[in-house]
Amino acid sequence: MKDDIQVTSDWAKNWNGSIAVKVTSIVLWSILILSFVLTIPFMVSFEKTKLKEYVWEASQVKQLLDKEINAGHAVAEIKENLGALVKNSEIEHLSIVYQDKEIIIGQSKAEHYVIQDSQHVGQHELDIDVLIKLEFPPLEKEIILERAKIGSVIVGFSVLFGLFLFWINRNIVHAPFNQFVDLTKKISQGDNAIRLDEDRDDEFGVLSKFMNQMLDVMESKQADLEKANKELMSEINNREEALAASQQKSAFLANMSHEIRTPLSSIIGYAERLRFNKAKNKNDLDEMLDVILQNGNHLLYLINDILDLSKVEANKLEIDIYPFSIFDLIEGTKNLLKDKVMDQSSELVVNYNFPIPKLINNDQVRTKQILLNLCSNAIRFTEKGTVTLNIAFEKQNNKLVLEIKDTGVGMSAVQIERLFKPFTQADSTITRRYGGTGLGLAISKRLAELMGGDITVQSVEGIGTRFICKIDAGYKIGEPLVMELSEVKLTSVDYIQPLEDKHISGKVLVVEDTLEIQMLVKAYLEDFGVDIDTANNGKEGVDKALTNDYGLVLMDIQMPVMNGKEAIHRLRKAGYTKPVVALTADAIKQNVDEFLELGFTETLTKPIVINELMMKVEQYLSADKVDDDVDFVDTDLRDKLIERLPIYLSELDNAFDESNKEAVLATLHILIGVGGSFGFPKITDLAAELNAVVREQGLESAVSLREQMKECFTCIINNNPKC
Amino acid sequence: MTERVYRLIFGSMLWLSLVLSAYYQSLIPIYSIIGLLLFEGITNWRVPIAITRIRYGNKYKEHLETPACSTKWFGKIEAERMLRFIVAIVVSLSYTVIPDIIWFMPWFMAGMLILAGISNICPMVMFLRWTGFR
Repeated sequence: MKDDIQVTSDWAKNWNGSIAVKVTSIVLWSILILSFVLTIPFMVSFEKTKLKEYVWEASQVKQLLDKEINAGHAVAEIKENLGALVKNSEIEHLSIVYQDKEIIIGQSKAEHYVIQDSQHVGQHELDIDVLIKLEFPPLEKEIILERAKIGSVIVGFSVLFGLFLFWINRNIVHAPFNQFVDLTKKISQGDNAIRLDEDRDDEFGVLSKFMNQMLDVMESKQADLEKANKELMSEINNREEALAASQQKSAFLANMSHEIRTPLSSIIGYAERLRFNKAKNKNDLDEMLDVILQNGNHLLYLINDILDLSKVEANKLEIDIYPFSIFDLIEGTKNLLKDKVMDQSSELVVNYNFPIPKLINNDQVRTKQILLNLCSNAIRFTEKGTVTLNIAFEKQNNKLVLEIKDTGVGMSAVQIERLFKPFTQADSTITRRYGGTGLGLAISKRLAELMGGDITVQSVEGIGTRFICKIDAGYKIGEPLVMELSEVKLTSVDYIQPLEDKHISGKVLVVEDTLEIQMLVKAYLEDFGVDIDTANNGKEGVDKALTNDYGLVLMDIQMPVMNGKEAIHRLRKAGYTKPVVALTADAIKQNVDEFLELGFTETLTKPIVINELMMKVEQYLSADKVDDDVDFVDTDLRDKLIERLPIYLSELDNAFDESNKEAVLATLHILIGVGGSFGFPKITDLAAELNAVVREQGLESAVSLREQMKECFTCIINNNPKC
Repeated sequence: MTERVYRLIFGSMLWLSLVLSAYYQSLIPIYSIIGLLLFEGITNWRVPIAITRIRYGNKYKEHLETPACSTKWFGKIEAERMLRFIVAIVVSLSYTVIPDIIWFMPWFMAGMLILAGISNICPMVMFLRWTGFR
C-alpha cells in the first residue's frame, strides 16, 4: 500500500492554510498548552483539598455526635440527626460504636477512603468511649473524574473557541485578504478596472484606499504608456514605410536613371554621328534616324508612365467617360502590337464572347492604356508562344471583361504578390532582361479600379500567366448589343491622315522661346506648305497676332517677358477670336482645364509628335479650304462620325439640361476637333462659336446656336449633301 | 478520506474514550484506541487509505495527500504512520507508567488532533517530517 503513494519534498506542506488559520491555530495551541499547564498545580492541590474536606466532614460528625450524646438523645434520634448530616456530605458510610450501641448510616463499598477515630465523649456524668469509622469515596476516582472534567472542559472550550476564532478571523481577516488576492489575480490577468471596497475603517480599509489610488495611477500611466507606445509604433511604422518607400524610390530612380540614360545615350550618340555626317549612305542614315526615333519614343512612354504614377499617388488621376467602340479599340490595339508580336515570333489571338455592347461607356484612352500594357507585357514575356485576348461582357455585373492569357515564363506566388506594387517588378532582373519601367501594372490596376473594376492575375511558373481586367461597361438596358463580329464595321486607325499626300495652305504663328522647338515646328509645317511666322515670347506673339492674319497660333506657356497665360488673356481681351493652341509639357487635366478657361482653344502636349501637330494644324487651317479637304477624308471615318453624332447631341443636351458648363465645353471641344477633321467644318464652326458664347455669356445665351447645331446634325445624319 | 478528516474523527474518538474511561472507570475504550493506533502504525493499513481505496478504487491515490520525501535512514516511514505510534505510546504511558505526571497528555493530544482536523495544520506531522519521516 505504501509503495503506491507519491512523495513531495515539502515537509511543511501541512502549513498550507491561510494566514488566519495559521494565526488561529497558533493561538489555540497556546491556549491548549497553557490550560493544561495551569491545571497541573490545580490537580496537585486538588488531592489535599479533597482530604481536608473529608477530615472536616469527619470533624463535623464528631461534633454532632458529641453534642447528641451530651444532650442524652436516644440512639434513634442521634442516627436521624447524623443521617441528615451525612446526606449533605460526601460520606458514603458511617459507623459509630459506643457502649453496646452501634449506629450505622449508609452502605459500605468495596473501594473507599476511610477515616477512623476513637473519641472520648461526655462532659457531665460519665465519659463514653466512641469508635467512629467514616467511609468516603476513593480519592483516586475523584481525582480521575476531576481530571476528566478539566480535560473535557479545556478540549471542548478550545474546540468551540477555535471554531469561533476561525469564524471571526474568516470575516475580519480572511475575507479582506481574499479580496486582495482576487484583486492581484485579476490585475495579473490584465483587468486593471477592478477596485476594492473602501467602506472599512481598519487597516484593510486604508490599504484598500491606497491600493485603489495606486491602481488609478497605474491605469492612467498604463493608458499614457499605451498611447505613447501606439504613437511610437505608428511613428516606427511610418518611418519604416517611409524608409521602404525611400528605398523603393531610390531603387526606382536608379532603374529610371538606367532606363533614361540608355535611350539618351543612343539618341545623343547617333545625333552626334549625324551632326558630323558620319552616315555612310542612305540606309545608314535611315538606320540612325530610326534608332533616335525609337529611343525617343521609349523615353516618351517612360515619362508618361512616371507622370501617370505621380497622378495615381496624388489621387489626381481622373477618368473621362464617353461612349466608344470596344471593337475599334481592340482592333487598334492589335495593329499597334503587330510588330511586337512578330518580333517575339508569337501569335496574338482575339476572341469575342458575344453578346458585347456596341458602345462601352467608360474612358477609352485609359482602357486602351490598360489593354496595351497587359498585352505588351504578355507579348514581352512570351517568346514563340500564343497570347490570347478574350473579350466578354458580364451583363449581371455590367462589366466588360478583358482576359489576357499567355504561354510565357509565368510567375511564382512571391512574384505575383509584388506584381502590382509601384516601383517593383516581379523580379529585379526583369528590367534588365525584358525592359519596362515596373510601373505599368501598378498604373493599370489603379486605372481599372478607378474605372469601376479591378485586375486579377493567375500564373504558373513556366506555364503562363492569365490577367483578367474588369471595368464598368456602362451599358444601359435597351442599348444595342453586338451578337457577332460581322455586325461591326471595324476601324483600326488613329484618325490621322497619311502625311505625305497633304498640302495645307494657311499661316501659323509659333510663339515659343525655345529656338529648337521653333525650328522643329517650322520644319514640320513648312513641308506641308504652311506659312510659318515665329515669336520669341508672349509679348511679341500678342503684337504679331493682333497685327497679322494667322489661321492658327501655337503658343508655349512658359516663356520669358510674358508667359502664355498672360498672352492669351491679352489676346482675348483685345477681341482676338482665332484659334490659339497651347503648347505645354504640363499634361495634367487640371492645368489643361485652366488653359481652356483662359481662352486657349486647345492644348498640344510636348514633346511634339508630328501626327498630332498636323492634326491640329489641319483642323484649323483646313476650314479655309473645305472643298479640298473633304476629298482626303476616309468615307468609313465619316460614317463613324455620323453614327456618333446622336450620342454627342444627346451628351450636349444632357449637359445643357443639367446646366453643366464643364460637360458642355468638353463635348464642344470634341466637336471642334472632329468636325473639320472629318469633312464637316460647319460642325467645327458652330461648336467653336457655341464654345465662345458659353464661355463668355453662359449657357442661357446659347439657345439659338444649339438649335442651329441640332439642325446641322440632322442635316448630316440625313446625308444632305449641302451640309 | 483525507488524513485531515481522520484526525478530526480520531481526535474526537480519543476524547470520547477518555471521558468514558473516567466516568465508567473502564480502560477498554482507551485500550481499543491504542490497539487501533498500533495496528495502523505496525501494518501501515491506515484507515484513511483503506476508506479512500474502497471509495475511489484504483484512482484512490489522486485523493490522498502526497507524503514528503526523505534521505534519512528512517525516511521510508511515513509521518502519519509515526504519528500513530507516538499517540499510542503517549496514551499508554499516561495510563500505565506515570499517570499522575502526564495525565493531561491524552487530553492534550485529543484536543490537538481535533484542532489539526479543523485547521488542517498538524504540528506533530510537520515536526516528524522536519525530522526526516516522509
